[in-house]
Amino acid sequence: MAASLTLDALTKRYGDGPPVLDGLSRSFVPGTLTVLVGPNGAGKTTLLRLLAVQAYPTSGTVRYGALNIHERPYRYLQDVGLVHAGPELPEHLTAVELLEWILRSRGQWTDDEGPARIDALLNRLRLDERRENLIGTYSSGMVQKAQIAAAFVAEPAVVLMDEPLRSLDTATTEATAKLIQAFVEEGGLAIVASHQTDALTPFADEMVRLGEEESEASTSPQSTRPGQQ
Amino acid sequence: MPRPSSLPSPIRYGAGWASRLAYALLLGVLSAAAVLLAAGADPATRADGLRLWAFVAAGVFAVAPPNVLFPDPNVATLQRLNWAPRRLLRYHGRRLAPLVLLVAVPAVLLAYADPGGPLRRLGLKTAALGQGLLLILGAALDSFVHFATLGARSQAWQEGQAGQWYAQAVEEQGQGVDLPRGLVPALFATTRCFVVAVAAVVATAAGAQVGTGLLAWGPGLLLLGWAGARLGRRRTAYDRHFYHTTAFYAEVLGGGTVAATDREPVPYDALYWVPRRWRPAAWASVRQLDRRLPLGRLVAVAHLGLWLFCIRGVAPAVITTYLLVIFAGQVAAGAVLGTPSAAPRAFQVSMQSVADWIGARTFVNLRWFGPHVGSLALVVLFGDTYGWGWVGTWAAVHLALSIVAAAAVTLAAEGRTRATA
Repeated sequence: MAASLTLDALTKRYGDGPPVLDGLSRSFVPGTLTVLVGPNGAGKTTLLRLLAVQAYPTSGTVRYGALNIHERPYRYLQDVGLVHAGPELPEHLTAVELLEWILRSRGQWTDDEGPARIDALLNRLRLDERRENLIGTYSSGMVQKAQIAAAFVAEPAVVLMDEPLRSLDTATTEATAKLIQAFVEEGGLAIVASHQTDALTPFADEMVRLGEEESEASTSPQSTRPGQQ
Repeated sequence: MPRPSSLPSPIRYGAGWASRLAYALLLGVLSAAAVLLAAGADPATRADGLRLWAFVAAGVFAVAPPNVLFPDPNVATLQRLNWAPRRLLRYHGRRLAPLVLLVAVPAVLLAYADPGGPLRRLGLKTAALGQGLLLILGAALDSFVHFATLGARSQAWQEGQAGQWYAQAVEEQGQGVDLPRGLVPALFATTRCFVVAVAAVVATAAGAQVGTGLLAWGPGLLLLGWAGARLGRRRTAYDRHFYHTTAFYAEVLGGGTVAATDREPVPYDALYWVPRRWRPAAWASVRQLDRRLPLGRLVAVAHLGLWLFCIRGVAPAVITTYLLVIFAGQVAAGAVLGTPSAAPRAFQVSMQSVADWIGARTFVNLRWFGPHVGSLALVVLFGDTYGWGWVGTWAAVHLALSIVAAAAVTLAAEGRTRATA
């Protein structure tokens, strides 16, 4: 069961430069999809890196329920699935092996259900028979599919995705959007940074615009999600 | 019941075969030097040699761990797997293990390599090795704990929340090191780790002079125990230290948020001595290398050590080993240029051929050829132990190492792209 992610006066600067995020306070609640939008350099990736514990704040805190995520990353990451901005996957594994490894490492592997679970997810993401080939031989779109599958395979409560639709063909874009939609409808908390918002806006609960008034985040709630209108 | 995993290990503890070959060569050279040095020596001389080797180890472990451990290339995968704090600690330990082996294996050979009587005075040899290994492992662990948990302090410095006295001194007096501010704590840590380890070596030597066994064992035991206790206190929260320090180094040394330094980058024309064909790539490589490592200062410190040894009249075999370590270490630093953040593979092969990268990197490695030869020339001019032939031999050794290291790094980086293309 997901908990809320609560940002309290979150500030991040690089070196002694101006803050990329300045005193950001807000909450992301379970059962919602938040899309981060804004121009290049607005701080979308920085915010996602902070939420993924790949960066540490200059000041302020991020809490997952009562947990300070930067103090207890291992506990927090047990509930999190990640899609990183870059194709950071091991090249000498197949997509199937990667997902098996994640399930085993997180204690969720069973011989009975594991292979079927992986197959179902990869089928849904339309990763074809090349799922048994090494990731190093994949096209950029196939790597992206493997990344998305890696984020969802352990059935996380929170997914953080940086440009998940990049390089995907139209059919997989739709499939990924549906995957995120189903995840949110089942109570998951999704935060996605993307320039390709068309596929996500129909069921996004909130669009957070970064980089518009000196890093203040402005929000425009979306009420078009099925069942919430 | 889950079946045992037959998955390969995709976590990259090291690089490809070329880097492994370079590592094996370096280990082979050091081991051969240790065997040559130790042949026929009595236990007391071996103990002296081991303490001298521990002194070198103090320098190695004061400098190398952050370069070996950070930024971690596998952090995205590790987050997906979400290893527990103790497993992250073991993972980090395994990443440092090759460096520890590089120092420990020659130490074992220094103690036991004795073709004339391998089993002669085995107890004394073992005692000397034990004392030496305690110092080496203590220095390694002390440095590991210090650097692995430095992330929070480094970030505070980087963002101006700590170290204001330093910033003020730089502003008022115009003095300071040419590094991003966040790396200054790591620089201080280098000095601190070196001083602590050398103090333990000196205390061990003093204890051995006094003649009681306990005093010779004590400093190493104390250093190892102290570092172990600190690590023990931090192990349950090692996930925080791991992610924070990795995040900091990713910010400063790569990951698209590299902080600008106030150091004047090397001008293109300063590389007039590089053939025109390779000059652009060599220039870009030198600029990247300068922003990653203060190599010039390390080379200068290494040669100060050489002069000190020569003034003290240290045996030529020791000088040979020392020079091999300096030269091999300097060219090995070029491996930084083969990492994905410095050499995105597709981009690299689009710029020039693999052979041209070998050429360019050879000249990057030869950047310190002049200072090396100049330093050796000073030794010849102010002493009577070595002649000009000695300088020429070492110049040839440096040239050969530069070519071999450039080829190894290039084959591991751009060469691998070709192989998988």
